Amino acid sequence: MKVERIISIGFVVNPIAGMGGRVGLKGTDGVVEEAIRLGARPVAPERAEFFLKDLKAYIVSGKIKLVTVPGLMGECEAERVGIDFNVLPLQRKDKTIAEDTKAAVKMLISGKYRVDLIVFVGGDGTARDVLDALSSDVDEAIVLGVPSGVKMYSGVFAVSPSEAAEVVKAFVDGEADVAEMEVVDVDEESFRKGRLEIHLYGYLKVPYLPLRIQGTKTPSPETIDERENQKAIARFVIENMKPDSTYILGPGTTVKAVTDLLGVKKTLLGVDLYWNGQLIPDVNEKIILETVKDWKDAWIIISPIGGQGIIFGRGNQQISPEVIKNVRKEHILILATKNKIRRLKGSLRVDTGDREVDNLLKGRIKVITDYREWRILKIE
Amino acid sequence: MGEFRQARWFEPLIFSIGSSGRRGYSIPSIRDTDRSALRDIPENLRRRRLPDLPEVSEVEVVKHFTRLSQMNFGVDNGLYPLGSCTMKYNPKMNDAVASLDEVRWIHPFQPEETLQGMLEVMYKLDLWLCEITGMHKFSLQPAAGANGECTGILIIRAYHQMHDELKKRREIIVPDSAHGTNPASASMGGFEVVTVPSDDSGCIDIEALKEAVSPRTAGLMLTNPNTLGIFEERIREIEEIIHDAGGLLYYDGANMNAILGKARPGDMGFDIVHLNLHKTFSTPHGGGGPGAGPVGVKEHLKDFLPVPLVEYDGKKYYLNYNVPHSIGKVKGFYCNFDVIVRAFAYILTVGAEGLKSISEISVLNANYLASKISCIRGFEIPYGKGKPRKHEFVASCSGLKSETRVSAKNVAKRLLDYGIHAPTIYFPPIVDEALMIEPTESASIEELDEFVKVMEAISKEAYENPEKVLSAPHNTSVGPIDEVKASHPRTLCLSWRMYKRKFMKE
Amino acid sequence: MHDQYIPNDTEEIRKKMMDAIGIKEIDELFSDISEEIRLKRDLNLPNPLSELEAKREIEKVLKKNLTVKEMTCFLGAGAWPHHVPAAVDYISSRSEFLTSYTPYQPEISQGILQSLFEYQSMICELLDMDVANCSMYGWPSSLGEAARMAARVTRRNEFLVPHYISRDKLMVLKNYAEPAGIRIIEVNQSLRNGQIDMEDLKRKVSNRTSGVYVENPSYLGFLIESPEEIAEVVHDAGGLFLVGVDPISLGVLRPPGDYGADIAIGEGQPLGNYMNGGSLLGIFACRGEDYLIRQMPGRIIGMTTTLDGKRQAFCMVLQTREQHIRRHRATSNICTNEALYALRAAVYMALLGPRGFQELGEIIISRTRFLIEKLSQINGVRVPFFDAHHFKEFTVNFDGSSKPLREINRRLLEKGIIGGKDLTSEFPELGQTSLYCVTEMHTLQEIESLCESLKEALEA
Repeated sequence: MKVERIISIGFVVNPIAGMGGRVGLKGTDGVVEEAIRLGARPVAPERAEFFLKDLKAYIVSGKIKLVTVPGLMGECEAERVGIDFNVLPLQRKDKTIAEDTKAAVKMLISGKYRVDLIVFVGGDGTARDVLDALSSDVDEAIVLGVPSGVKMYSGVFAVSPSEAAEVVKAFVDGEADVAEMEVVDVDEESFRKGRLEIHLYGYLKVPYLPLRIQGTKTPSPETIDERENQKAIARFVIENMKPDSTYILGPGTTVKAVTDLLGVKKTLLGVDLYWNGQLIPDVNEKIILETVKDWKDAWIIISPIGGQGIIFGRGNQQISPEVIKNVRKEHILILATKNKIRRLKGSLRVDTGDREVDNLLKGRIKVITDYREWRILKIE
Repeated sequence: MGEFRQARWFEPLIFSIGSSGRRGYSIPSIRDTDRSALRDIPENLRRRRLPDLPEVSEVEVVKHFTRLSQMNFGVDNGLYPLGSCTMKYNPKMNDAVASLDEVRWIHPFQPEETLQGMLEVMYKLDLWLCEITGMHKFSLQPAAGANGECTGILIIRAYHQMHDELKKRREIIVPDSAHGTNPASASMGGFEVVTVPSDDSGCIDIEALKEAVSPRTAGLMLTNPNTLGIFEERIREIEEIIHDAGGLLYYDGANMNAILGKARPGDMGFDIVHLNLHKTFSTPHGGGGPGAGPVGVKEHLKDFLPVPLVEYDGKKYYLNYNVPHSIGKVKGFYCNFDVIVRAFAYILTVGAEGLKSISEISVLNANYLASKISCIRGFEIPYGKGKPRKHEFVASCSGLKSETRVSAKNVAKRLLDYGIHAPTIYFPPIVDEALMIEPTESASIEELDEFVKVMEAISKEAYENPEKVLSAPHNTSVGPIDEVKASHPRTLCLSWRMYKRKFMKE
Repeated sequence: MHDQYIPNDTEEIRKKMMDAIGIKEIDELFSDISEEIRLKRDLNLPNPLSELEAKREIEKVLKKNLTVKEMTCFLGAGAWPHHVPAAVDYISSRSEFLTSYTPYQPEISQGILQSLFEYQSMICELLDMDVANCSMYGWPSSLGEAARMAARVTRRNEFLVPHYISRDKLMVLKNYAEPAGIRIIEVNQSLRNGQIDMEDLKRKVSNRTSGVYVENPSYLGFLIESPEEIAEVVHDAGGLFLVGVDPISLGVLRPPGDYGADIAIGEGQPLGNYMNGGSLLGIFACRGEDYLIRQMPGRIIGMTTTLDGKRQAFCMVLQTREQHIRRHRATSNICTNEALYALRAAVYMALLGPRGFQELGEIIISRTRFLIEKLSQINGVRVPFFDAHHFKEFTVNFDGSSKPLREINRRLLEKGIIGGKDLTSEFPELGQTSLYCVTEMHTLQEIESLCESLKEALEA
């Protein structure tokens, strides 16, 4: 039996998104000419095609009706994949600007098309354009980003084009959940100058693959939203922070959620120090060892990095074996969302480069997984 | 093995039927008093516009809801192997006694001497539940399992408060296979939750538990057998670890059906117990309630129970409000008495011997089914290989999913097509593509064999013609439901009023 | 006797099944329960009875209850006698409803889902609110959950309640509130007319106030005369206005949505449910704003369609709410609720319709006035204690008589009458006062016989 529900998807590609990355520019917004001069080639069209290929079966079978934008903003990509689609009656352009994305989104959400889902290919800048274009309709639209930018800090993106396709399929099958995700963007100017100033621009409703728990005795079939989970963890961490203690903060969004809530700006990829409302960004081992005076009141807050669950030794080498020894295991707070825990399959890893410290860390540890929730995990 | 057909009425909302001026209720004459009394009520306190309720005759109301009932599925319709819900048969005699005037037409604040029957039932049920669980006193007040859990958590709070340790003891430990309400109840009671993983045998990882306890431990919540249907063999060790750390042990009685007359939580060392009368003790679940979640405690916690307790002075039964450290009240009045009286009737009819048979057969049924399901292609029963299950078991169809795309949800939906209610799915979270199956003692061997045949057929379909399974259910009152649309902000519709505003705009 | 409930409990089938799984003794399945904790004796319970014997035995025990049908009872205070139409019993005893679980599989559970959606919808119409959940354990539990919800929505932790609410309800409220760090503050009410002391209210409302709760009709039966003023005070301070109601009053009295309630709760027992010695149905509703809906506890049924878009269908919705709730450290753990009572309420509300509610309300108001008038003719009786308008319940004070209330009630009982609820321990400041309730169930003769018996009791 064929399921006859048809989902209409508006598909918008920002063809210049991501061009800056390979030529060392941090984002293309406003500097396209320079990017092209430096030899940048478009990456978005290719990513758009990957996404469409993975979705092809659903489009061919008629479950999805695709509405896209003339030229490189979707039409060309869809043509190359060989699928049916409709095109918005907009001018075809060779050079696109933010306004083109906005115009397309506005039309897709308007009465005539009123698509069920908008999928865009781009980066944080594109996400902002989508958000702007939706303006008062923002509560009614559901949006998903296919990552193709240089900066993709917003929560609206799937991890990859193929995961985006999985999410869309689940959405079509009625198996995805929808949550509000942040649209953030880094201040372009300062970013290119090496400073990271992330602004929150708003929220979009985004479909995602839920972690399904249908508990008979679960208050309700519960789904776990990553961002909400991070905020919950952050709230709990802050409740337990002590004045006059020094906190060595590892990289990543989960730890960053803590500083966001504290109202200080943490580097996303660096290690920072926090003490009594002040943050020293991007510290190295030397600065940590020099700055921390009272090790008795020093804490490390980290979250596992990547799918292997490595907590020390990858991306946070600034927190050296000596630092760890000084802080001691009891003062290490590990934060991990439930989604992350699920991928870890029950254990964490360390690889500090110092056998003695690795052994010191091994055994079991309490990991913060939610507001006032801990979980015992093994460190191997 | 035939497919089934559920009634498929096109039944509109009650608001869309009827006609102006109709009604289904005859108003008693009020000649004895003066209807103009309404005029005494000042204009600004009176309702200005009548509520937009349906205007329907009794005939229409009865037809409407009768048709709706035919589009519903209860334990009287067929097998209902919903794991951890103990969907056993609900004896009709129990409904009959719950319908007596002496149950329906009594007011909770009547003088005790006019409520001796109710108090006697409550008192005796309390005694019997004590005997069954090995506890010393029960409160029948909680209206549901979760309400009972809250009660237990409040008792743990009050206990540590009295010992001046509440500030320090902030943590409740739960295993990762726990019912979802356990952490929710702990957090509702203001505690932090520490989750302890299960080991390969499907039981609590004792080493991890040792790591989890500390002077911050307030207590442990555990169900035994656990949600995998496996008995926590090292329960005495667990008990020692928690008690040595100064914590209390809470027993979630949702799975009590497995061990009636075989073992008692009190003997395992638990301090607090809740039972679900709407599971183990056969009271009907009513589409979601009412239930009853009585809480029992050991002697040392008796003075913390909610008020009032029911006592007997040798001559009469009475309500005792004089409970020194009582946590107060957890719901209005004393209990859902219509539920209590059914459980009372159940124990009275089955007795000790019957309770034991119930556990034996429910466990036998589960193991019989498990042995057959584990042989079906695409299914396996993870954790504790070779261990007997208790009243339920958890199968995983992750093999089926990776080979055919057919998920636990699809299997569940396809089962409906055969007139079998789906098991609990995706629970416990430690099992991928989980199907949690609890046949209860009410299932006959014929029904169990039928269930196996249907599962085999679904597996075969999944490998040969997956579309049929993927697009299930086909034979229920409605086909697959658009749950995304249901929660989608644009189409969210939670009442007739919202419907009118969103979809009936001119 | 139990065989009738356990089809496989015969020697033959036991053996067949044990053979199939390769065991010889049933106890092999329990071998993992260590000796130390195995129960080695039979449970000490009464011998099992046949259906006939059990029924006789239970009837014998229950006969020790005196029902409000056998006596005349003027008790209310949270559970009230109202007529239950036979159609309600008929529908709720249909076993497709009665014996089903929470509708986790919506496709096979459309009946209860649609019924509960209709319950929610009719509650909304009656209360003039936009959204209702499909039940809580009772009014007191609804109040507890409402206080937590107000704290989540406003992120504030002072919750104001009127002085004259049931002490039992207050106990339940505290158990919900205290672990969440919510402070309960009582607002004074006038001893003369029961109205909220606006000066006291303004003093106590601040930017820490999560919400102000009032009941209308109040616990003691009087009506709140200017609820808008209270709403204004709390709204100006950024808090929520919460109102508790007796739904049976809403055919004639203004609904809470009409005077600014953000959350409305109440007791649904009067809607087609027996008192059952205190079984309750918690009503819980709120306005339709997204930020409120997302914080609403309990299960909510939504209307949608099938995937093919061809049929209207129903399912439980907004299940991701729990996560939002968790974040603000005030999870609600409610699962099993009072669905069957809600179904009964749905049938009841459909039967009554708008005019049924109106006429029933009128009857109750006129009975209330009639009884007040009758009682006020008796020497030594001050009725009502509060100089206000009343619905269904009112206070009767006996300070003017030499007899203590206890004795008066005892004498009434001798005549087969259960007088009003004794309020002396709940509210000592009211003196010898009791709370009387009168509904469409009370006949003229019953009212007159009460008055006569009271006269006798006071004169004796």
